[in-house]
Amino acid sequence: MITGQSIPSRLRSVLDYKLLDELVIYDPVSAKVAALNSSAGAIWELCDGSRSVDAICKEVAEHFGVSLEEVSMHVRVAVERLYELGLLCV
Amino acid sequence: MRIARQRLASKDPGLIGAAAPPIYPIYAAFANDHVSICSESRSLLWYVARNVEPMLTLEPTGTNLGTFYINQLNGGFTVHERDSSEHRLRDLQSAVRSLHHLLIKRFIDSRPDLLWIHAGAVAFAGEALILVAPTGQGKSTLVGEFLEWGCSYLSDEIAPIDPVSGAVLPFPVSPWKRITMGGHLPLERLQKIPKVPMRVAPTAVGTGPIPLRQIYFLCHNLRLPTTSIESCTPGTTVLEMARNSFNSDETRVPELARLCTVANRVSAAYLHYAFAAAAACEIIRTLISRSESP
Repeated sequence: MITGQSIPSRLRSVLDYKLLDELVIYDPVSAKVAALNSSAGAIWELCDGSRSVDAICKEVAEHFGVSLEEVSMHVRVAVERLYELGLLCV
Repeated sequence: MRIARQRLASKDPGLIGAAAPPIYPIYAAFANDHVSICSESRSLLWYVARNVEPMLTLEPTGTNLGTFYINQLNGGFTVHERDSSEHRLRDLQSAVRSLHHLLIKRFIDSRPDLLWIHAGAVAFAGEALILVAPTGQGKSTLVGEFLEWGCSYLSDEIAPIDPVSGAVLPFPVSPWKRITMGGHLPLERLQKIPKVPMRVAPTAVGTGPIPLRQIYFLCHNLRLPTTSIESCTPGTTVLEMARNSFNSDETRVPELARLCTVANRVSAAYLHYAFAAAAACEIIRTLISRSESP
């Protein structure tokens, strides 16, 4: 269960490949591949084990110039999805 | 003297039959290399040859990637590579299919620098388009429709892509398609319908690398009222290509980097369609209008 206090961290084994404004990530251990759009890619970059989900929401809101309320749900969904795929640990 | 010879022969019949039965070879080529396929039976070779007919060469060319044997034995069939263990198969169809898969795998393994995608491939006006899909989505049927439009034939099963040049190499296994009576069939039932060969004129077979212009991911659905083309982002293109890749899992890391290179360079789209003829017509129309626009 991901909460605002959870601190998500990208798995060390995961590799990323930059495409125009997208990011393809691949974990050679689990063989999982995912394609992230620009906002999901920004969230992924922030999941470095140093910030909570709440802190990520704040940074994303500031970066894209949108309200915290607007961003919070999207960030949670993205973090949960990446966690379910086994590409993040918390 | 004559009697002595006959006695010797009867003591050891092996001396009489010392000459091994003749072995007939055929050669299937891809790019600069070939595999040899040998058999004591010409008729068996005919069955193998008709699966790779456009790839056959009169003489071996380039490097020999392997020599495979198919023979009849005790009412069954054997398939093996020189100096390796035999696969024993009960029926001819299984033996030919087994050998076909061995040949394809050998070609794939020989070129890990290429992206090997489960796709049909044709060329139109000097540019290639590939039709990516798992089994049962209509690759071969669509390829057949494109041939009717005068496209060159590159493959109906596997598209090898050179990520450096961005070209599709011809891998012209013989095209086969299933004739169905229409209506949706589950994959298990679809696979039981035998395929029939499609005729391709030798002049219609592509002979060299052709720049890849467009990638289509096939989504076949008989309930669709019209054909529609929905463009794909490069990220989705990489995912779809990776899902339909024959490259080994061990080379997945460099493969994804190569797929990104291709996806950045070539446009891709989902092709939602019900009928192959209408879909091919729509694509040809799109390609013509694009080539006519300044």
